[in-house]
Amino acid sequence: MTARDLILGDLLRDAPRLVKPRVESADLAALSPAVSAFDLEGLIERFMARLTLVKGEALRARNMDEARAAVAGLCERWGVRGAACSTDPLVQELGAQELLAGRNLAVQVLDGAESENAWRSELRAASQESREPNVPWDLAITGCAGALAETGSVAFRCAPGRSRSGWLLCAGHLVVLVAEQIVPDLDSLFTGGGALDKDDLPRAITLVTGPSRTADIEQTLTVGVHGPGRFAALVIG
Amino acid sequence: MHANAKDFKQNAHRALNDAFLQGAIRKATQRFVNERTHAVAERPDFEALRERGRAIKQEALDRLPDLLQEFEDNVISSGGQVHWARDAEEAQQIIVRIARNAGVKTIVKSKSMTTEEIGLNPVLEREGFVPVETDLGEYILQLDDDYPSHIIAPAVHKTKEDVANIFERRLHVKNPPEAGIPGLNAIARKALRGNFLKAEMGLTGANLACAETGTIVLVENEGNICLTTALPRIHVALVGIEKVVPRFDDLSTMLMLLPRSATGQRLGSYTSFITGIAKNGEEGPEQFHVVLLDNGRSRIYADEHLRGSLRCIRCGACLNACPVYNRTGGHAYGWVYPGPIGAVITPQYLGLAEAPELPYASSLCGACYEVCPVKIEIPHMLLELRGQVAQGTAQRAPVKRPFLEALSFRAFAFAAQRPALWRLLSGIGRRVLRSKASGATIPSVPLPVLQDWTRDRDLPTPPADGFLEQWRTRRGNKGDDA
Ligand code: SF4
Repeated sequence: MTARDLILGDLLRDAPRLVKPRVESADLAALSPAVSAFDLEGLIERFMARLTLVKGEALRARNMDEARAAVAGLCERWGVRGAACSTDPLVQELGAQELLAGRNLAVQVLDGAESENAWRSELRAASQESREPNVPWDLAITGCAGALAETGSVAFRCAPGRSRSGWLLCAGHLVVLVAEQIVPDLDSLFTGGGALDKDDLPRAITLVTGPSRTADIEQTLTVGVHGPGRFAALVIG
Repeated sequence: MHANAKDFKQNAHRALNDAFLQGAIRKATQRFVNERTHAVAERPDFEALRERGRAIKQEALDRLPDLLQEFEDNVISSGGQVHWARDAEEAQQIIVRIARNAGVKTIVKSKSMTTEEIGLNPVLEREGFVPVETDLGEYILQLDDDYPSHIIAPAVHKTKEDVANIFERRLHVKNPPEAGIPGLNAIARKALRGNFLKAEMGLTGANLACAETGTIVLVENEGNICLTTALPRIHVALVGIEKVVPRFDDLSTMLMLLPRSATGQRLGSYTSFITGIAKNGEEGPEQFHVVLLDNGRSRIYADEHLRGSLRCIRCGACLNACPVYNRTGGHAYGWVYPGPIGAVITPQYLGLAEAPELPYASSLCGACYEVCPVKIEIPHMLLELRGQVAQGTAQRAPVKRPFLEALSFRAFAFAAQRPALWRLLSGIGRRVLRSKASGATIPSVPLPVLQDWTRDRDLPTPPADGFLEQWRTRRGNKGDDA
């Protein structure tokens, strides 16, 4: 008998003989009325307000030109020297790479396993030799698969050219999104074709809500413990 | 982990005399309680959510054997492997075997109560691996050979000076006092970053596991779990068999409950849904192992009165709400799981004889039940366990109570069944106690048993008339309708 059979055998012996009729999600949902719906402008407002509450920066641009100006302003404010970009279509449409290069910043496009490995080897070598990496990675610019108004979160689905470490290992993270990507609450991410579509699950989906934080020492909130200490979302539209 | 759950009274006594600990625990629990209250008030449907949470976890328990097999099938079909461990030792062996086969050295670990439960780190070290805790609190504890005292804030009992000393001693880095807590944070970040980049294996627990898709969910604030599950080429998740929920969209409900109950956050900084290995050029490990851990859970499952305790999602809300935990802190409970839920499950994991005092570490005020996101009837379970301590069960003999205590209860029972004797004794008792009173309370009573009882608390002054006298007077006033 394997451990598996023994454990399952123990449980089966004690499992209720008569399992009550399966409680369907619909019944459960009836117990909990949905959060009232918002119009798009309401969703954007709420998303930005909630993100600010968790120490994220919420930026708004009406069009691509405004968006580019916002990115430039952010680089200025954060004192960015080097940045890593993902291959999200929106990041490309924004022309983030050219924009940053035009400002004389070091830009690395993480477009797949090869560039990611090279990037991480450099970081590893720098850490082992106790030196600064050849480029200080102050900023990651990525897109997202959806955003949540209720919590001020963005959903990040990993894919080739969209690695989590690409932003986790940078000091700051800027997510660009279009306004229509914002949904009211967590439940809406789970329904049909949302960022959390169960029929198409990659290795990892991470909901990011503000910067990395800890209060492990004397209950004092500090940001940037392992992930980015600065987090911003730029809503376009 | 080494258990020391037998001596709750003694441990609690030590904690009560530690002024820093008292302040630190109170500060942490107050903060969590306030934030939770705030977060709950924001969702007028929170009660309905709790009921949904209870129903989901209860359904999961009712169908546990089926769901575990469904979960196993789906982990395998997404490229992962599933291992079953009946106890701590089997789990340790499985994890050591995976690490050895893959030739790993450095293992980065995220905070996991389950790995604490099976005492994994010493075993990995003995086998020549280098396990590194990466949650800041856990890292501090690992460097200091200590263990967690709160489910959510493991190092709540350490001061920043303690931490600075630990870093200086173990990492040989001095934190200038003006750098303060952010400075300490930066030291840890730097030391751990190197470990993330070189580790070949990442070890996590799981907050939830979904049968329908084989997904595990991990909730955190620091980003260490993201790194642990993204960078190393092997990912091992140690998952208690009670973590499984049936459907993927059940995760949504559980995630609306967990962070709100734990820290009052709407969501933690990072909530990750991990499914299988890295596919088609995604970033992630080439091997994904889930170790399903029983370690006493099927025994709890067999006890109908206590089975519901397996619904626990380890949010820690009951700790924060508990007047006993608020004074004693987590170490007094003597094992991994402290607070009200610890008082229920520790005696079951370790055996009642190893923790006979824990079911009594509660005033049965019910605050734990009020806040529990999955509505675990903790006070009822504590009463059930007290019954088992006193009377024993089919499998267990009653636990012996101290002689004097047993004698007092017998004397109480004798007198309580004899009204005249009761009136006489309680009259004398009240008079003696009132003579020791100073105002509304009696600070200490120099009598056996009561002397012990009043060492850490005051006794309220009894009224001049006892219950029976008051009853008679009131009945007299009301006429004879009673
Ligand atoms: S018993 Fe309930 S309140 Fe306590 S930790 Fe578990 S889920 Fe949270």
